[in-house]
Amino acid sequence: MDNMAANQQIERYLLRQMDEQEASEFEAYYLSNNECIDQLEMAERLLEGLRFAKDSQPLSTPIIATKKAANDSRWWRKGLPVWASAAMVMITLFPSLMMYNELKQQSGPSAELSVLSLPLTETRSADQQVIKVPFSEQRMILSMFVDTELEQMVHPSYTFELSAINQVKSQNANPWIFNQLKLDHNDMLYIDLGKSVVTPGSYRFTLLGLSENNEKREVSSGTVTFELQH
Amino acid sequence: MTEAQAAESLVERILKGDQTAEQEMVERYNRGVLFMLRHRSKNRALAEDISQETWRIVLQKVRAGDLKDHSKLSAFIVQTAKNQLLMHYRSSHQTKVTLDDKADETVDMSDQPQQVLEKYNLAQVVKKLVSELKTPRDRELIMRFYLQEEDKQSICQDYQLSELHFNRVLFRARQRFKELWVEHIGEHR
Repeated sequence: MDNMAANQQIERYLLRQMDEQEASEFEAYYLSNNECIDQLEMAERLLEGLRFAKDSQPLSTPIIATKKAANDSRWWRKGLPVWASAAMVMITLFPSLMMYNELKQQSGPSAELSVLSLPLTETRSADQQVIKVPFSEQRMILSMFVDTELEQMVHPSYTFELSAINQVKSQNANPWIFNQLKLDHNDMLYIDLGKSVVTPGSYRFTLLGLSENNEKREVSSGTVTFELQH
Repeated sequence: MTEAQAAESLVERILKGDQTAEQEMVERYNRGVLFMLRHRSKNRALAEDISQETWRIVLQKVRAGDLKDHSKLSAFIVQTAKNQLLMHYRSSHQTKVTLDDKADETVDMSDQPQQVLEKYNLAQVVKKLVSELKTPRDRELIMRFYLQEEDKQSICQDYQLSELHFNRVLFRARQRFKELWVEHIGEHR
């Protein structure tokens, strides 16, 4: 990569528009290239300054409303009904390799992630509830936050199981089982399938509460379907 | 000497037990490691912590001959740093945070007075930069690209610009920003 090509990559990298592989390759390129790091730092500073200036006082040019912003109807922009925020599973699907997007996810939902809520209350009453997840990738990586303001969420630890239904045995034959999950300081459970890849299809999930003497009690269960939409 | 040649030379010297080569390796790559970790974590203090662990592991593996293709040293360092960061996030999500744990958490310095002042200075420089941009089109282009995070192609289409022209506007803005920054902040940084 020459300097001209690197210059053209700088903004894409800073704005996190690269996929994981591209970002890693660019990082390997600039790691020992002080000139490129200078440009990166300057561009990062410019970006930060623009954001700060925009938040503190209007800049001389009004920000134009764009199609992207106008069309963005994801849940965190819409606000959630009270019942949903009280009891739900938020499923975050990462479109490609996990690492880059997972780190983005740490700082809050990103417009590039698909997030949906799975209300636990409905799931309990309708065990076969199916939620379809439109997605443009053939393989998905899954993380879940389980909001646990349910009456029965009083256990010292939890187990979450996810198993494929009606899939070829070689694919996802074994269920994912996450033991010893504990509520975090926001009273949420975080479930991360790591680098395991979820293929499209139907899955049964079960959330179990574990008492101090390791007795299991089902808190919630249901079915979730990951369906591709091209 | 190309990056691949420099990397090969460093690894070979480290394998021979040359400790100055280890020092040279850290000096050569550490600035980039810190930048990538800070970019990925958005947390300066955490990036510094993770970089220490990254270097410990990289040195251990290079000494042990675990890096097969010596010319890929930088990719190896990047991957190790990413793994360390990922492990940090996994462990922090899977472990219940107690009050004692919280006391040990790293603190992001972004709200410290020095950083607030830096942001204020940044905003001043940026406002000047924006006011200096020659045409309303260039101002809009910068705003839409950086703040609205719109796709380069769609912006080019709207303004009937070539990608080359677009890149020039960005490059000029960055260069001018650098001049203004040095002029405004001078040797304070």
